[in-house]
Amino acid sequence: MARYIIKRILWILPILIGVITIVFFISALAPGDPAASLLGSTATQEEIDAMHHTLGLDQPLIKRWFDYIVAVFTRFDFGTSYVTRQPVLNDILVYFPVTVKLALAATLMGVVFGIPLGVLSALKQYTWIDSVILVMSVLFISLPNFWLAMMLLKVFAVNLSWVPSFGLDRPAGWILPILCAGLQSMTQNIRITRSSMLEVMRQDYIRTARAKGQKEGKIVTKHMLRNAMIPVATSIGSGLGNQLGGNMALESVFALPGLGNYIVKAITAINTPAMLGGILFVAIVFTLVNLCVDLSYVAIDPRLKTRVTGKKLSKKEMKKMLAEQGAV
Amino acid sequence: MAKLVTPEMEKINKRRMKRKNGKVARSTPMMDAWRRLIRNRTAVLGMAIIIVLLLMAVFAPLIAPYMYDEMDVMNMLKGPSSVHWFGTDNLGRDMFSRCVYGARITLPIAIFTVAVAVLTGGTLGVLCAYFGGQFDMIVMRILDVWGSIPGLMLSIAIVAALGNNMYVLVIGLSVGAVPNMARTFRGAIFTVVDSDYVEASRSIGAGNFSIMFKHLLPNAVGPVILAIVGLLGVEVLCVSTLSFLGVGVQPPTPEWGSLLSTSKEFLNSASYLCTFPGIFIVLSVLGFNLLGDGLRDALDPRLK
Amino acid sequence: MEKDREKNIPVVEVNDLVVHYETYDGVVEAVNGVSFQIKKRDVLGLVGETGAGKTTIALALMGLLPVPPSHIVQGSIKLDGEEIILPQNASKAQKAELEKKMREYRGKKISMIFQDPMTALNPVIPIGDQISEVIGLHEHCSKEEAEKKAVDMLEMVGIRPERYKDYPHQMSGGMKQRVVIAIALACNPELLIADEPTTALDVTIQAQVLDMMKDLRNRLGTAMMLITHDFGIVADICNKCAVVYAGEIVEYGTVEDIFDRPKHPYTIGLFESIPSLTKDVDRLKPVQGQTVDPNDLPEYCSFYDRCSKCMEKCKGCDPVLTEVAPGHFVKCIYAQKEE
Repeated sequence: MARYIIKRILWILPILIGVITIVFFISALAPGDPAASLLGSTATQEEIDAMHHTLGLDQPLIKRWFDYIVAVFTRFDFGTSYVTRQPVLNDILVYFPVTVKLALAATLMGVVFGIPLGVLSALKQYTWIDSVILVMSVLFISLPNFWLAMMLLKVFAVNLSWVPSFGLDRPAGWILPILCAGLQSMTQNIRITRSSMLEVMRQDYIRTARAKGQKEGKIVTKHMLRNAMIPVATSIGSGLGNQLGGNMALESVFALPGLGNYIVKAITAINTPAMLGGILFVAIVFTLVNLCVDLSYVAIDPRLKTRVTGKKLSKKEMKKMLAEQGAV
Repeated sequence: MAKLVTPEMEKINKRRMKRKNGKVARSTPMMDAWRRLIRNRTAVLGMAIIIVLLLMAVFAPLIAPYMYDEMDVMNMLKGPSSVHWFGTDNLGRDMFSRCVYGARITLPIAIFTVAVAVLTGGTLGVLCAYFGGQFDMIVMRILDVWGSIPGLMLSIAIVAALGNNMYVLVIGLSVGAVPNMARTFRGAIFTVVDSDYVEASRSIGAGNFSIMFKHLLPNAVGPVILAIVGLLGVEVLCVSTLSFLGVGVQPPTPEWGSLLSTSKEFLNSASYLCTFPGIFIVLSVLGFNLLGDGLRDALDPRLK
Repeated sequence: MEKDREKNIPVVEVNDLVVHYETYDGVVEAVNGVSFQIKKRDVLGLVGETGAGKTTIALALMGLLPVPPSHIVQGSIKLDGEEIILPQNASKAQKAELEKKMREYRGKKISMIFQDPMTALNPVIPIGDQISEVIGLHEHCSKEEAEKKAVDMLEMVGIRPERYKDYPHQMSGGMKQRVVIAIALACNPELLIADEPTTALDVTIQAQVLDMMKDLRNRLGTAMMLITHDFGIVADICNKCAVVYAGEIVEYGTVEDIFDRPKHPYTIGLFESIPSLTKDVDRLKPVQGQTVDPNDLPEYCSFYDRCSKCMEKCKGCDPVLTEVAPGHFVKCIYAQKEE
């Protein structure tokens, strides 16, 4: 088990190098000269050249790429933002907490409401309860979250003035962002839970449980839920990962100082170090969350535990097993 | 015992008589799925929405009462009325016309994005499943790296770097979607390749070619279609999100997301400007999602 | 007095049971007017081809038919003289009451060994807990006692008690089947339904399982209904046998009746398709033709199209299950006339 975890954590290194490479060369394609835009239109050619030198832009691309990787892995130096002139990591640590709070609250809301509603919907298949939940969830999943955010702002902040329209200095400012992100996470969970439950409900072992004379309620909690949770765990995990990467559109509507907002600003301002560092950070978070999700399968499904603790586990096997269960 | 006829039987048989003159059709699984799709109200509603929106895109000049960029300084920021159904924006442009023309921007971008993502991702996935081994391992590792950057973020970075035009937008968005597509294709084919019935047909000496067309494709088609329809909805959302963030289609082109982005400032004063483009986004995503849900039920042979 | 009562009331009595599966594309007439009874100590073998409706009968007895699509159109099933099929217009409260009663019966009074051991066990629960679950439900004992009894059951079916905490995926098909059997036998049911209990097992374990079931009958007088394709098993353990074709019992009698004096052309055909040790035949004779489409049963005898003895008269009416010798019933005009 420990071996497996260590292996997975070590795997983050090549992922990061890959991510750096991809993003680095994409950003190298960007038009415009950061030095020129930093100095403004009055700058002379000498000033621009000097700026190139301080920013390291006079070095060949490959060397810059190599230096960056070395800096990241030896000094945790993600570069210095052109705009704030601060180490990117410091910037990120200012912006990240907002995103974390939002992501956790939304995921919590999604789990607390989404899973029970999904279970209810599956158990009441072919009744009006199922239809209502199903219609609501397909409707909510089709809403662009930034539009939902705008509509909620219009009603609750502009018309009713129940909540402030921006700013997080008052706790009420959190309500709408969390509601928007949470609704999205909730609908996702409802849909996955429902279809997973429907799949489990027709399994033979549920009939066996009935043949034992077990009560319906107990059959749901004891026999169905755990089996149905594997795809749900994937969904929760990828949802959380995505939210931690910054809910860009939502943060933009509510003007939240979050990671998504930071990265979008960096991209549009051709602030390459900030963008590289931001995306890199997101990739780390994403990979760690995925690792946690994979570990949670092991807790849910004893079949995987045997594979993981057993000596020969190749990632391929694990992937295949997960694919068999419709988890990937 | 004489044959027992129940009211339920009569009802079902009557329906059968009406349909096929009483004969049970010997149908292929695909035809079966189609019949089930057609009688699935969700799917039909979804298809109807999509068809209406596509028609709207094709016949935009006939439907829209004004040109999308026709300004009318006398009528700026006017609310919905009989002359301007959705009102006018800050430059006096008719919002209804802009929304109608928006279908010509958002939908094609989303559809082309999906096409590119399916072609590249699908090919990768199929090759992985076909060759397996080292090739599969390497490609999957690359996709792991690729997939650990959130798709939307990658798209934004590409679009920002390569400049704002439709082709770049399509490429940028599809790059974000490729890893998932590749995994879906690969997974779908792997599940089938490992199945007992392929083993069985191989054991009676069926050739690669016949296995490919008789077993692999038809059985892998379900999850793949579902993924494609699902992706269409997602990409409509992505196109508009990108434009909303100011990285995608730029104003004055009336893309729905970019319409929302401009209207954002008028949320207090003229909120109808924010309402209508959003409704069009919701409708198109809803259409694809409903179709997807209906397809999922129709393709599941167990839910006959 | 008590003895008499026990003798007279059958453990289960099925009368004119009709079950349909109603789907959008048509009605599958799975069970068409089946009647039989099983008394204490009786072992009834239900023999027939795949799709003949045997498992549907078993699920109806358990009250586990999935509704929809299945629909019990008519008939009665009495467990120990107690009706468990409600009239069509039963109220919700009646249904709930019956369901509550059935929950108490299932696993205790009547239990079932399912066909496919690979899927019948919950993959995320240790097998021991799956056995103790049924004990805890019906024996009203503490958790420890239930677990102790589950260990005993494991030993009885020949699995080492150390494997209590193992999960189904860690066991072979045969072992899983024994766990399924242990679950079914844990509460000493009065009626045991076994749906092809030995199909997944190799021959030595097959014999062990059958011995176990025989022992149960001898010790506790458990009534059993055994669903199988295998006449060998019927001969080994059953004393009554019913041959099922297209949802109907076409021949019913003691094992001796069926084996020594088969009357129905279908039964005869089945025996002719079994290889024999004593007779030397070049080719086995399969029953000609295909099973009739249960979506579209004929008005006349459903075996007509495959029957080697069919006559013009057979097309005119559907024969009735008739007693041709004491306790021996046949549903065939030809066989009845011959008598």
